[in-house]
Amino acid sequence: MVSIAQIREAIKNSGAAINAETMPIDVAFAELGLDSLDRFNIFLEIEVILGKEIPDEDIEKIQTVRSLVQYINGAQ
Amino acid sequence: MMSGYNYRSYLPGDEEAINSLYFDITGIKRSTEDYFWEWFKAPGGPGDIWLILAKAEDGREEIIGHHGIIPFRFSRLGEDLLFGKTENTMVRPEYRGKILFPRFERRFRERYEHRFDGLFSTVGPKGALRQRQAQGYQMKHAWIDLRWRLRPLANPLFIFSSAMKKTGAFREGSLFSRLQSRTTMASRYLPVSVRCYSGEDAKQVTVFSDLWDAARGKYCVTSSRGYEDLYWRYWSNPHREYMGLLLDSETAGGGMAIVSNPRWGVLFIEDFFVEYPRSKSFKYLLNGLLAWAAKCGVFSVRFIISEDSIDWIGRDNFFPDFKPMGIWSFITKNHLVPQTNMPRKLCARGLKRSVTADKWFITASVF
Repeated sequence: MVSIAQIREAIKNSGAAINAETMPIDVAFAELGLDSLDRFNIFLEIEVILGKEIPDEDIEKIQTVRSLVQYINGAQ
Repeated sequence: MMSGYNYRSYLPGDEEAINSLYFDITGIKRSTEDYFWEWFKAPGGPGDIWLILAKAEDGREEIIGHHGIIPFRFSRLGEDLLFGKTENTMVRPEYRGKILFPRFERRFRERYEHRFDGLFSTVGPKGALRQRQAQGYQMKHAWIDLRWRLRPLANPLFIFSSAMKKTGAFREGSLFSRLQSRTTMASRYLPVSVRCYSGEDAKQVTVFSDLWDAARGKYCVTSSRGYEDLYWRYWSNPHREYMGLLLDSETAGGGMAIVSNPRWGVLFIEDFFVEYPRSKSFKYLLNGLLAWAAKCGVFSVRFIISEDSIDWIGRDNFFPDFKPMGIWSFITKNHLVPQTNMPRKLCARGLKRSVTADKWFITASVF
């Protein structure tokens, strides 16, 4: 099981232009000002945790930190 | 309702949907003929065109994204190289939050980069430049927008009214029609002859490509100016009219400039090279070109060039010495204002041939 803290750490490692420690978990990445490159870098970090690529069609479902945690825990 | 995404390269018949996507995103209408000219007629070969498709539940697919590379022939010390220019990278706004575009671009790049020695972009919004950086492009070299004012700016109203009355350069097209197929001296103080060729005339001659053949062995990484390159990029360009200028001087050798039709008295140098770069002959022939422009009634001249080109040629050679030409009083200022950087990336093939991303000689000919 992955925790929100682990996701925050992954977002921090991705270099996305946001404070990963304080970012709200239920606000969409786009609303937080993260562009497609930020999201791409976050997903690269997440895929290291997951050990596989997230399919293109699932990207749309993952718009917040909370949905990301739920997705990973459902996928593992 | 979408059921997923797919991607593939261009198939005949896609051009209409691509142009429609282009119009929706840029607001610019592009005809099928213009599309084929841009993407299929380049002498470097057909473009590498990649499409992202959204699949509907009923199986229908809609093009929602595009990424393309236009091949540009380059050379370095006479050796042929092939570079790819990133162009028309676009995704429908409603899908930007739904897909990871950089992932698609990485997949596409892995499929096409073996074709090229290097990749580059010209300019673009900040976000696009970030995207290129994420794909491994370097952003070290700025574009420099050089501007030479050929008339004083002390009284703009006077300049405007006198220019409107006295110079044909303010009327679009008039300079081209006046100078077509004529040879004139740059000024009576500067023995540089300038022979003007309209696009149609230039198609009939090989003087420009002959000069390039004589010069290319002395140039670092730069775009090719062979007959086919000039024919495609300028003489058959559906968007703009260009004029070729052949410069010649007993002391400095030959040079070529391609200029576009002046707008509001501003002459844009699209491309310029001389037979003997990195020497005083560059400055001499540039002086000649500017003196010629001043004589033609041009108000100001612009030349966009990469910063490393200026360093390679020698910065001093871009500051014309007008006093001996007798028009020194018309020069008020030179601009060396750094603009956006030019993204560049070397591919494995270029690295194997020891091509570097520095010391290029790049003009607006790659725009």
